[in-house]
Amino acid sequence: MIKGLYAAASAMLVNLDRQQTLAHNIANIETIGFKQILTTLTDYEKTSVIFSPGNISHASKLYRIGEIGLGTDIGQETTDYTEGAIKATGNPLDLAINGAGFFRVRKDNEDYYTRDGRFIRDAENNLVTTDGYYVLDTAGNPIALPDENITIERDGTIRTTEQVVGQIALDAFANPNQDLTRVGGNLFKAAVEPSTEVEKGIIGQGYLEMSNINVSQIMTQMVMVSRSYETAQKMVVTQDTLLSETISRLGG
Amino acid sequence: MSASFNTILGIFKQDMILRVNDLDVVSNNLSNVNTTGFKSSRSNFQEVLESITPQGGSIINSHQMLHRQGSIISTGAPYDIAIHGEGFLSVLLPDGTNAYTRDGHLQVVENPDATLRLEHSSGYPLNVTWTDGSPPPNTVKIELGDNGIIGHQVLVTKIIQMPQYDENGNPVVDANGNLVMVDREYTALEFVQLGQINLTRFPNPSGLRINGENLFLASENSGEPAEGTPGTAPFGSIKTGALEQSTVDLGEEMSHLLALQRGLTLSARGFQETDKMLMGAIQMRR
Repeated sequence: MIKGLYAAASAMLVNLDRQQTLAHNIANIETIGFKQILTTLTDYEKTSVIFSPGNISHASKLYRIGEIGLGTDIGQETTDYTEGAIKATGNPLDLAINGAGFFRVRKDNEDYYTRDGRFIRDAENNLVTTDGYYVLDTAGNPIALPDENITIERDGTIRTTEQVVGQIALDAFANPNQDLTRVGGNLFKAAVEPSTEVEKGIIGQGYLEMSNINVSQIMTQMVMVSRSYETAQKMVVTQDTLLSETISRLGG
Repeated sequence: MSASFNTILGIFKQDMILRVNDLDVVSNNLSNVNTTGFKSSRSNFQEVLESITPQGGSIINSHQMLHRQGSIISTGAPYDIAIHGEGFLSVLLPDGTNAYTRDGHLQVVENPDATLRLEHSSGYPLNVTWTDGSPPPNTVKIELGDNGIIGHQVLVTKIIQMPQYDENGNPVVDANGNLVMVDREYTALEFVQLGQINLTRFPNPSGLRINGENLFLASENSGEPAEGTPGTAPFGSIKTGALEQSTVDLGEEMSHLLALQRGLTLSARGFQETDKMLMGAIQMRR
């Protein structure tokens, strides 16, 4: 009976965790290049159930009748890397990736990856993110822009009317869920070198990739989580009532 | 990893505050749909992850002014100018520093010392390079030419050589059969340059600070101002008798407003749901 109480309570805790992930996803509905977090649930520990005939003289006849779960636990968090919708902004330094690639950006000698293509020029004319991270070219160097209008081609080549300035790097990963870690600020950190085999996609100038959150899916999940929480809570109350009945009937 | 009601409610609360903040930006854009030289802004949302709370919702990391070219409409007014391309007009603030603007609504105002100056619609004098180093006297009538040339029309006497005619109206011919030429005087209006309106550009115009009255101020993010003659690359050109319209796109702002409203509703709904869960947890023990 106590086992059941804790199992029901574990469902409450887990659903609280899922609610937080939903809150995080909802808060990032307007975040450019945001990839939603998915939660999974797993079984918590299992324990054997021993049947006792309830008679001391037959104590030797205790036997195992199977296993009972002790509740549920939050599983591995995964990131949904599917592409978000592409929105036209007409801003020349807004870039969107159509495909699996990431922009490579750098700050304090650390390289990060991002799908957020809101770039600006910094005071020294370098191409940077809105946080001041340098956008890197294919050779891994920051890109210094000339004092004039630029066009960016589908493969990332930056051109002025006369010359080629550089090429924006796109890197892709074979298994982004294992290779990349979310570090906040729309950035990911890579554990391995980018793959050379995966198709990287093309760059669209004047476009941005919206977050890949599906509002109706989120709403449904939220209803599910809150109902599931409610159910678990009712279970705790039921277990509590049973326990109290047992104590008052048998103890009295 | 541990979630708590406080964190979740905090994320939703923060999110609602941000939507309202974003609403301010949209309202500002919408209210400036007819402001000359206005550049629309947007809020840049960003994901927040913290070590204590693994998921922290989002923040607005910056308000980015988008320096798109506004459409240029002809007004026919003599002192209206529009910049096509990059660059800002610069005006002198009372504290001696410069402010920058794309609003080319100018007027000619008389100084106390009987000279003239060009004044921006904000009431501050426009920075102008006068050809002879000082502003012209109030006796001239200033005109603006294309690409920022300031000048005036001067009545000049010119001499032209004309054939000489006799009393019968026939040209006079000399012994060799050539026309005999004489000097004749005539007067004409000529455009004489008095000064030049220069443009100032920044590496990162999005980094300029907004000062109000259509004026921007240089900041450490905008980079160093560079001055140049209009019409020479990379500076834009100046068109006289026209104004640059606001870049606010009503359709874009309205659709953003709808998305914003939906986001706010979603957050509020999430807040309520979380509150219901919390309420249930409290009421477990009666």
